[in-house]
Amino acid sequence: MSAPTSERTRTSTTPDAHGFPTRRYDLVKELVIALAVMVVLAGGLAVAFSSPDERPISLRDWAVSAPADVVATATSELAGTSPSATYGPPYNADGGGQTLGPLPLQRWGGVRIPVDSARDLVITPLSRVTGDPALTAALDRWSAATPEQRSAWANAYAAALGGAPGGDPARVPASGDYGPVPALAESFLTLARTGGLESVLGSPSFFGTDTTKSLLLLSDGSYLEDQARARSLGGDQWGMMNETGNYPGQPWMWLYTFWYQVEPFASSENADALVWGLMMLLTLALVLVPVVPGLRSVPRWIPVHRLIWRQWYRDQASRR
Amino acid sequence: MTASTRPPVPPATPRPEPPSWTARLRDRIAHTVPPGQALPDRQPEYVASWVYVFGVATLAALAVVLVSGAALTVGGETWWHTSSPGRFVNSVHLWSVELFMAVMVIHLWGKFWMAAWRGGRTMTWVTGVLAFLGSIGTAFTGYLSQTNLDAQWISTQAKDGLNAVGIGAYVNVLDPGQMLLWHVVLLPLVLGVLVVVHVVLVRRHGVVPPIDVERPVR
Amino acid sequence: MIQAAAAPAPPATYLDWGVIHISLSNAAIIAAMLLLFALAIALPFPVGRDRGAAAPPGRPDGRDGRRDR
Repeated sequence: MSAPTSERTRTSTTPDAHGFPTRRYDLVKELVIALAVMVVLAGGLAVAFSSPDERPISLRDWAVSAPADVVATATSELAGTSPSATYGPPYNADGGGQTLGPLPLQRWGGVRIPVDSARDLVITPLSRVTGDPALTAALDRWSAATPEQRSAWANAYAAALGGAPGGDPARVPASGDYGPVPALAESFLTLARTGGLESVLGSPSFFGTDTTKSLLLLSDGSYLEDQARARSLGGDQWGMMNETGNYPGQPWMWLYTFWYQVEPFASSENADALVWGLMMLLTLALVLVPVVPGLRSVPRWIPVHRLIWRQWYRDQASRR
Repeated sequence: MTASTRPPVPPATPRPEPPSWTARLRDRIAHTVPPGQALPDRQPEYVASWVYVFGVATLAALAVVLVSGAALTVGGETWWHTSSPGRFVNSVHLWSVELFMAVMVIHLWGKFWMAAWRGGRTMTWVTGVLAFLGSIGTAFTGYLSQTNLDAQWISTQAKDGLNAVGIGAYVNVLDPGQMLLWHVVLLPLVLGVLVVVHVVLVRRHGVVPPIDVERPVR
Repeated sequence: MIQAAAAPAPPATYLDWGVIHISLSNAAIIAAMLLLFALAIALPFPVGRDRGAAAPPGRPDGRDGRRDR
């Protein structure tokens, strides 16, 4: 009478692989064939399908294609209400940040990439412009005002833009108290149209490859997201898996992006932290499969191996 | 008195010297795999299934990824946008990565259903999974290095995921300069070490015998 | 340097089923992988008639076989 399966599992020993009868096998030939196959496949697919390459959106592109969005974004930066302005760490301390249960992980990272959205993304670039007395005056008026006054002006203008047809600054009622904000936003749009905004936002040193500020500004607007969503790249569109055009994307990201499509993650403000935490747990489980009871027994319970080794099991049975 | 008239003196027992670092390393290397098992020309009879080719397929695809990636670095960060040969090299790199990830996952499926961690092969499984995860991370930095629309979107989205757990303060996905170096140097080195250790472990322990085999019946 | 204006890629084909929203390309890849795995297990692997002796037993650490967990 054989022992129950679980007991037999506990006491079974995997014999030494080197004690089994062998047959000739040419590993190097196998590798060379595999290399040839991969070269032909990769080369063939490259010739047949090429690769996707959609031009990046320059800040000038943005200004030309969606000027109202640029004006609205500059206004939200000045008002301190843009996504980057209210982000929290690592850019500033103006937002609480996401938590994983009781753990304020985002805050623990600290403000290590300091960005003052109003100053760094709008005011400083504008202050580099010379030969524009109206702009200089507007900047002076802004810098002389209190934070409360600045906030009041910018929020009032943001609301007015939101109410204007198409967000068009020209159709904003002139009666509001917006201070220098309309002039600043208009000048910002002009600056963006020159194509020089990226370099002004970039590193002050000669060699700069850090595009943090340009990307924060661009993603504070809606144009980039509109372009992305039109290509099904949005977070709630399984976007993490997708690529522009008809190209395969990152199918291996299916489980990571899946959680964003379902509750409670889909509507949670801590979705990123929660999904990360869950995926770290699942990843740990995958790493530790050999030692996790139950998980390590799945191959026995669902005996796919009887198919894989069917020839061997048949030979062994016939020899007994 | 000449040497021939001297009575023979029994040799003194030599005091054993501790092996040198060099000798110790040499012995460790020599015993990493059983003799003849580094590149054996025979393998156990139970290794008889097409599912076994996906390990070597993964290595082969990785080789194409590395070579095409190296070719891509020749022209610099953005040459492939304006150069036809560059675009072709970029395409080979993309498709070899898709092939690499596909065959690696099939290899993982096969190894799971074979419970290939048995017989002292836990670390083989662990290094394999870590290499899988490392590959995903390396590919991620690659997508960040495309200097196109896709890279703009991926970076601004991914920053939220990494910032939410504090990692973004140290890994700035909005800095293509940093991400390119991670992609081309740092992560491939880490991945390379994992892959080498993984393959050495496979050769050391041999291919895992079938489940429930008590001993080979000759 | 003016980057060549690559034409926007044609809109992709997506398949939708409940919460699932997947590109045709990704779906094709996943389907091909599953098919490949099934074929790899199902198709017989050609083996030679050569049956040799066992390789010399003994592992570098001196242990033969390891107790399974």
